[in-house]
Amino acid sequence: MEKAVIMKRASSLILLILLSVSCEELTEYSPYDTNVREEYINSMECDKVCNSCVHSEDTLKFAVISDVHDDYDNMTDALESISKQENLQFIICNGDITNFGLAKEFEWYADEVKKSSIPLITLIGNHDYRSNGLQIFEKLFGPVNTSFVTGNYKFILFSNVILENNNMSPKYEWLIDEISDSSKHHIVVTHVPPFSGEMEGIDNLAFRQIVNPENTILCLHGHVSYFDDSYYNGIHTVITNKIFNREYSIISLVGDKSFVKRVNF
Amino acid sequence: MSDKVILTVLFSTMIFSSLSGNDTDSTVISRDNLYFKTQFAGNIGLLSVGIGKEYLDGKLSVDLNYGYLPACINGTSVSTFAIKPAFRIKDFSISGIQTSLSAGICFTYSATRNTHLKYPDYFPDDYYLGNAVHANPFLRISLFHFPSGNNSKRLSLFSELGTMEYQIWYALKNKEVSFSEICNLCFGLTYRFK
Repeated sequence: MEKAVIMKRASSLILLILLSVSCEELTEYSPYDTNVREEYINSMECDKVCNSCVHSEDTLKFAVISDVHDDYDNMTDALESISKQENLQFIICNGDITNFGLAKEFEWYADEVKKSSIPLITLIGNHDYRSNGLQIFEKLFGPVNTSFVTGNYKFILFSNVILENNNMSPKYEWLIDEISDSSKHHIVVTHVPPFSGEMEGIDNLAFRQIVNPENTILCLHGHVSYFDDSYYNGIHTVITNKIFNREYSIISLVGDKSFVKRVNF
Repeated sequence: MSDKVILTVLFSTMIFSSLSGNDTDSTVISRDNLYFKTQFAGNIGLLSVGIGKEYLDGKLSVDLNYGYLPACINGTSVSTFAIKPAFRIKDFSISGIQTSLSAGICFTYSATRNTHLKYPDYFPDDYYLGNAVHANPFLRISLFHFPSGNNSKRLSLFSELGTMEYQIWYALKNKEVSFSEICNLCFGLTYRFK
């Protein structure tokens, strides 16, 4: 064989290998990969909320979506509808942004977050713990337990997932620390409602002892795939429907009072 | 994401053009053989090795593979076992290079954090289906016959364009997920034992 032909073949193969190694999008090593393109999205979104103009210290309006799973088209429609609402300061996504906790699912959800004209803060849900989902969530969004303050309100996003988190109890000591600040009205956001089967027994008791009407004006949940507006443990409690049902909630806060509106899109 | 499609086409073109020299040796490679293979990427690890056999005059091949993705690449290590049946759809020749197109499904079992075939007892019954197993369809182009010596005749080079079952569902369900986003390429070598 001619030397030139051999050289041509060898150089093509080397080029191919370099091409495939350098282009992450072209090759995939495993669906359980934890590599993601973005980092700490929640902290950037919280900064936007905290730095935004507050109309009044004692009133606030925001939207809640929940249980996106694989409904990216519905999420796009929801964000478009939410962007047309007046005076909304931010959006909370109440967990379950994936089905299997895989990196591709997280990235497709993150692509939707980037399209939102309103800051969108994301809580982890039970599905998001599956596979290497916890590691991916922490890279992409930041800590699973987080809080932010706007006006006179402190939002405490608390991961209370037990089963998918190797049957471990939630970090109640973190919640106690966060809720001990008495200078603000507290809104506690968890994916799993405390009355759900997963939180039966000691976890339900612990949650009710820590989060009570003395320190919390509103609780927000998802997970159960229906809307509910009621009082639990003496606290106004709103469950937002899953996005598959093309519905989101708008919450208005006035002083220590909270009001909810269901919106279908 | 159309860059992936372009790169896929580019890949095929480069392979063909680089290998279509003036060689005219047309010795027919033997089929129904045992073979060893190694593969880069393709959702069964950074690198995988396997052993397989061809049946029905090479129309059907089945190989067993083990792939590993180290934590230094990925942040967490993943071990994958895969069985890959593939059917040869078409044989053709390009400038003396025997080429075949095959289609198959790669069934994988992966071990990493929080993956289960059966969920632990503290989960309610039928709470989830296992998340350790996937079925990944693929199209494979194999290039046989490197006519520089007897041993090299046993070598073949292949590339696969693959996807995953859940990603196909997501792309069908959502306009936001395009088909080019769910495709990936892998590359590998096969060595026949005779």
